[in-house]
Amino acid sequence: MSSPSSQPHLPRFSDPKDIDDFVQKLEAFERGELGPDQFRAFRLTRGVYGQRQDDEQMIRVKIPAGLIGKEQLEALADVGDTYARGLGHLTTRQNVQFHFVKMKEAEAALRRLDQAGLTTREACGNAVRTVTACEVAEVCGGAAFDVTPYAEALTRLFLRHPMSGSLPRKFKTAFSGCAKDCAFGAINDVGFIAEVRDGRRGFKVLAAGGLSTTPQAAITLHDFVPAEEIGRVGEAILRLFFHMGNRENKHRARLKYVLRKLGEQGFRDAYARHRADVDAEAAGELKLPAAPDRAPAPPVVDGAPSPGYLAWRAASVVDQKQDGYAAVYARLFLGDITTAQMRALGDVITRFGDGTVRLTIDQNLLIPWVDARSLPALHRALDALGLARLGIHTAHDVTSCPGASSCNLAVTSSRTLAGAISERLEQPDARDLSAIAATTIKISGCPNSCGQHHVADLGFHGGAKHVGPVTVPVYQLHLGGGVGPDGRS
Amino acid sequence: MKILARRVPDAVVLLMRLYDSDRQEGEAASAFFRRIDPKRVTATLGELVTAAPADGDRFDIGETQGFQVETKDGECAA
Repeated sequence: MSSPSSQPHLPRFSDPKDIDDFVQKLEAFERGELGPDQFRAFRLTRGVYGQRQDDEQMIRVKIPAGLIGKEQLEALADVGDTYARGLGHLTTRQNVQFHFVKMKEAEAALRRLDQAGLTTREACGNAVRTVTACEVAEVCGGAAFDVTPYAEALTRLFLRHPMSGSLPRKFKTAFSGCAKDCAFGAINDVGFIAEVRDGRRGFKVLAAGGLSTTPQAAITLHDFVPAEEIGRVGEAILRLFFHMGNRENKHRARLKYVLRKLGEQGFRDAYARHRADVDAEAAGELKLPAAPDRAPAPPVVDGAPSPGYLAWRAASVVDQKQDGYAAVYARLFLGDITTAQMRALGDVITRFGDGTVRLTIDQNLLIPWVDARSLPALHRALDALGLARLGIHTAHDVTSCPGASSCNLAVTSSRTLAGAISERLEQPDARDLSAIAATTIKISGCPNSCGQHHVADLGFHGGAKHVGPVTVPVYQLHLGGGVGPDGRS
Repeated sequence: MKILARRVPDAVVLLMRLYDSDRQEGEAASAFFRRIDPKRVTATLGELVTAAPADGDRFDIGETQGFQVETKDGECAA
């Protein structure tokens, strides 16, 4: 175990050769030796994504299972400060992305990220995207076991896999700690739901779920597989997708369309064939990481609670299954985080937690392993950083995609709507509605559902309507969405 | 059901009032909004969905210029 003052060793996923490769291809493109379409397909698999504005790039940093520490936060802050207007943005796949990065500065940004082990490899494009995980699986009493090591191992299996960067379309994977499926496995291409059966760790496996314009609930591919087999499961599904996904029509390319084309039994048969190959080759072996060397900081007790402490404690703190410890949420507005907050957060998690923070799939932060006696002091520290905002997991905590402020596909400014809704809910005629605490709202600026509008109590996606000669911005309302079989949109 | 962008915040408040008034005991928002009759929703939103757009409704929220759909190929599916 490390001493509380030292930094924990967190997994590294970067490889400087990826950046060398990026530079080489960029130079070839600039010399005219590589066409724009070829370069675009390549750079996306290195996490460099063209914005709506010319010569402005979005760089997406993969954060598997949303787990990072102070070293990574400092690297992210440096990139934000130097290349991206001092602001980062948390995504619904637990990534951090930076907007308005110049192409000529992309290499330097990637090099700085690499110093902290952070990769952008396969963060965008037709690739295996960030493996997400329930942020509380390590500490929640309801979780069967901590899924983080499995998410990390599967990330390593897929990262730089020969098929990972040349798939028919993107491929998303999620791990949940229990049947509540907090990580939304049911809307991913593959979802793993932890369960202990007869004393053995394993997972229910969901496959071929997805949102976008035609949502598809996943099928249950395995009711239960022993945990050590999930590498083979993942490898077989990846091969199935690589070989059978539609490469002619990108709008019909996700794994869910393979399911629709083959039918459920045909899909199961195809999976069984690939699985037999994988088993015969002993491919897809899962290598679990060593147990982490993290230790919670000793209690910080420095005075009486500040005003507002009790409301914050009730709204933002979750008691861990480990006696005497708490996990603390910090709500961000639409996933925005300043570089000053990133740096200060690195100090906070070292002083109060075990040196780690989890980025959540609803664009917030979770600080685990806080000694319960430290909570008043932590509240003060977070409040000073603007990170003690109330309303996590309520209607104020809107999820939104970037919308028309930066995305080429967006029709409307979804982020602006999110702000307007939150402001409206503060008005005297609305602020006491009990529904605010009970309702989730998610917004996308177009039907493609990056804001996951199908899985909210109130979902909205942006569009346009012609009224006489005028085109007006509208939102389609989706009621009572969810990942369960009875969710509707 | 489509709602003009600028009217969405008011629509959210009306939908929340509907939940507060019509929910069954212990009913979660997700279950309520799945159960509720769409006609009841339409009636609740009333003029927010039936009234013709006013001048300001031509603009997206936070904008003071006319709304134009300006989309290009996204990079999500290169």
